[in-house]
Amino acid sequence: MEPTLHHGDFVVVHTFFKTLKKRDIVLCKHPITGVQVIKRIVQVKNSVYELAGDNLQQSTNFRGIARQAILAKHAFSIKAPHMHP
Amino acid sequence: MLYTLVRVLDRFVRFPSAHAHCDIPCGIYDPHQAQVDAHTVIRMIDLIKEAKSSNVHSLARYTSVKEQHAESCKHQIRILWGDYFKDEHVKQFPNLPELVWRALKQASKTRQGTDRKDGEALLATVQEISEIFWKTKGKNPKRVKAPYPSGGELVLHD
Repeated sequence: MEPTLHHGDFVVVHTFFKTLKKRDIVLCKHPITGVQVIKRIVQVKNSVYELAGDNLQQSTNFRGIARQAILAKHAFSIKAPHMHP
Repeated sequence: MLYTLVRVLDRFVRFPSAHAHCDIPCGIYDPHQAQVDAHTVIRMIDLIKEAKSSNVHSLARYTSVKEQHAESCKHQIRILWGDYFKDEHVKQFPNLPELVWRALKQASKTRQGTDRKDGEALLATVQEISEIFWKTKGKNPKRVKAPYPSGGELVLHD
């Protein structure tokens, strides 16, 4: 998610959102491994989401993500000072 | 200041962590190393055949390197299978699971013996997987003459 988020950043998320739109940063459950992953919504089609990291050269897109797999929405971050000089 | 406070708090509370990648470093996959490993296995088999039986030191080295690269080849194939290939790829290339299974078996076979045909069969299977890999990336795979003493080919892409 660089340059938006770096390793060590604290991210505050909330679960009381009603809508999700393109460009939102969300916490989702990885469709295969079940690991919690932070990604950005890059496309929404019929309530199915495509997610990608901001570091496009390193990131693999997650396609076909259902609404239920999105656990929370990014509220704000507390950035690790040594990673954001 | 705020970061330091939260970090101290984290030491006690242990906030859950989230990843930005599914398996760092996500998105960097390449079948090239598996091909190089298969070529190395063939080369080591050739060297073992050429070595004099009295040269125990060289034979031990060739055998050890053959073992390492056969295992490395399996490791590389497992990474592609476990981390890169998805359901949609298997639907598009239904023979992919059988190829992966065959490559793993064949790599084990090259560890067990010194038959060049086993090494060539491993390379052929890895190359078929490589061609599928590049097709899934939207690339046009092509075979070129390998610049190695093991001969054979390498699968690259345009």
